[in-house]
Amino acid sequence: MDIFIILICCLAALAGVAIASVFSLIPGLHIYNVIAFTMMIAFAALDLFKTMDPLITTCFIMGLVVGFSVLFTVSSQFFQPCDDSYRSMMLPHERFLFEGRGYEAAMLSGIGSMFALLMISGLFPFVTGAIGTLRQLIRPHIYWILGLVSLFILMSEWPKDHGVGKTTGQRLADAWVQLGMGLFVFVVSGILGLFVFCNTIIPVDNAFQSLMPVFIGLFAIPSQLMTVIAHARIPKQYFAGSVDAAPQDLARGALTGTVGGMFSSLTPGLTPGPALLMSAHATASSGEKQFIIGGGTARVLYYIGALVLFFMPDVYMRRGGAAINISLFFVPETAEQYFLISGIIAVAGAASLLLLGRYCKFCANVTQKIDFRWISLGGMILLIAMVWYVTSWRGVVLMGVATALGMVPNFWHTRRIPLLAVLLVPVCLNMAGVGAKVASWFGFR
Amino acid sequence: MATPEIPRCCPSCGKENPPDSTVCHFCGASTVERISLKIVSLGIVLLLAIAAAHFYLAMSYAPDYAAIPSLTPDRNFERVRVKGRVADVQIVREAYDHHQVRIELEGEGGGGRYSDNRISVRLEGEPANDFLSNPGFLNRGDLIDVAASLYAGDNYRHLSLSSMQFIRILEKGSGAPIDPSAASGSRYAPAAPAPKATVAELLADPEKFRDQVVIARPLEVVEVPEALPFFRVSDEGKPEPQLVVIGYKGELPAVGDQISVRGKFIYYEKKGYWEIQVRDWDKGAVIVLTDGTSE
Repeated sequence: MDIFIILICCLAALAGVAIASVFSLIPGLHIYNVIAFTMMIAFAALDLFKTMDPLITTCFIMGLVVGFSVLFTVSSQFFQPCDDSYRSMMLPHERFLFEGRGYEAAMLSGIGSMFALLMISGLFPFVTGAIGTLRQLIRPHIYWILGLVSLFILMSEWPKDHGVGKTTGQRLADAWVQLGMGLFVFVVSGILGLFVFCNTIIPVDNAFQSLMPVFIGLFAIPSQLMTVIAHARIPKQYFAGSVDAAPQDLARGALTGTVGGMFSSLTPGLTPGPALLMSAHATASSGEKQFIIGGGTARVLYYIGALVLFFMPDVYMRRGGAAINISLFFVPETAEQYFLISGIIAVAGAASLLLLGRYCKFCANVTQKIDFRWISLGGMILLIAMVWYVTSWRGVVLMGVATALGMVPNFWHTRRIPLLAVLLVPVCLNMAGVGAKVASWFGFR
Repeated sequence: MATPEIPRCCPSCGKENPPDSTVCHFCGASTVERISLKIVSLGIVLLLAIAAAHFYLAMSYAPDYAAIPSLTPDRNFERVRVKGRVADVQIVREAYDHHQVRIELEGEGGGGRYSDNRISVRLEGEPANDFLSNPGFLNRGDLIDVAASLYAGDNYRHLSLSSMQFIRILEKGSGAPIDPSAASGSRYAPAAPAPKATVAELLADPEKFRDQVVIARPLEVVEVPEALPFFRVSDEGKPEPQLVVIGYKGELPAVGDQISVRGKFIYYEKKGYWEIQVRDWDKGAVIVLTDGTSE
């Protein structure tokens, strides 16, 4: 491979990181939405796009994914604090934020991401055969694995209001309303997922973006709405030169994240959230620091690790939105392309980590100057505009339905994780070979 | 053994603690057992070193080319990478929806038309269309690198290419350029004469026309759904029966237009109805009929 093409690819990847760092400032925006938007622009300027080496565009997207996976949680951490009424189910990084330690939490997560980047670029090339074998072993069993994940999600729901009812009956009802609503959210999300997979209403030209309005509606818009009405005040943040962690926290956090990240990257339909919860149980991980580090590792392994499987000799697995978008114009073939992509991940990862500290400080300073509610409101308007542009009014309708469902966990204090049934249920049923039959019961086929 | 110095201000939240507090009284963080953020800088250096190693490997990578004579039936379905010179290119237009490009590739050392040092590289569907839309891409005599799947058995042997990306020109040859438009057969017409029929005739005995290229006329457009890639037609002046026309990429006719449609009459099993499927390259597939127009 020519040195010139390598240099151009590096520049394209760094441009991707730079753009990802800008888009990552918008809480709730997902990198796959940005990639979809990029692809629409690329297809609109098809003549120009066709003259470019597809490797360059691939490396640009790789830079976007790497930059985003390292940086995107920073804005969510700083700009989307939860309301007081949600403290009982607050995530660790939110507690850190309210203690003035948001920077430390973001850097702990960054250290987790760094482990994953080192693993993907430094270790993966030596274990391509093993990953290929693992994939072949998992492949026929995915449907029941996803079934067990669904069961885990349902069984791990717990009542969060601590028996404030006056009578036994009231206390029982309080508990079961939350559990019941978790179950309701799971079932309805699953039905919505089946509908989108079988019979979407998105215009056919952009039907490959069917999941975009659903995901924005289920997750991004409700988060932003809750942030807009939140009454929290973010204290001034302290910029620590070290993190409160012991070497065993790094090791166990990274191990938990690795198990969760690999699990989610090799299993279609699974996202790092439930995978991390399960791996934390499996590795007996404990404490907020290990959870945050594990989260950083799992997230990067899920986004980048899953994408790198697409380029890996012996595997060539198309997993996740980024790989699907890249496969529209590029088919990986040779080992030299895999070496190039691994190098690009390392360069983009180094650039993202280099940015991380300053990026966190910038976000922390922004919280002191701009009300985080305005940021979420702006983000929400931008997301709705993007859904409208990409998927027309039909997508906005679909997003509205998904938003209504996505608000249910906020009203009834259940977790948001059952919403992932939107992916888990249809993928599980399709893998089991009964997806079409079940969809026909609902009149979707 | 020296005791570690305990900072008064918490290194995590910056608030001042009583002397000798190993745990912050405000945020609960340890003031002594900590990891410096210099670990991130170390990670960045390691990543850059790994990147340099990968780029070196990419630059020094030598493909493992398979010799053309070694592509025997016992390697059937194998993914192989072959290097050779373009001896000839044939463009075969077999039917309404089939183009095939055959690149005759000769391994180093030559050997002539019937030697085992020669193999056909075949492109069908999208790769063939991409090839045809790039006139001048290949010259006879070009040295090319091809990554493709081998199909080999008794008395046949060829490579099947899944994308044009897998042809890389290593050295331009001095032979005559290949002009796809000069190949035999008309590009925008079906290979065989298409039977003419009305919608009523097609649906009265659909099996008779199944999978055939037909010309249906005169038809009337009854519905053009927004943002969907099909429209509905019926026989002129009769609202029923209707047929779906799918796959036309040109400017869509308006409701009420009288048109003629050329396409393949197929049964759409998923939804259970018959339709006329038009190929996107067939520019004359849909003709709006004005008075006296004939296709």
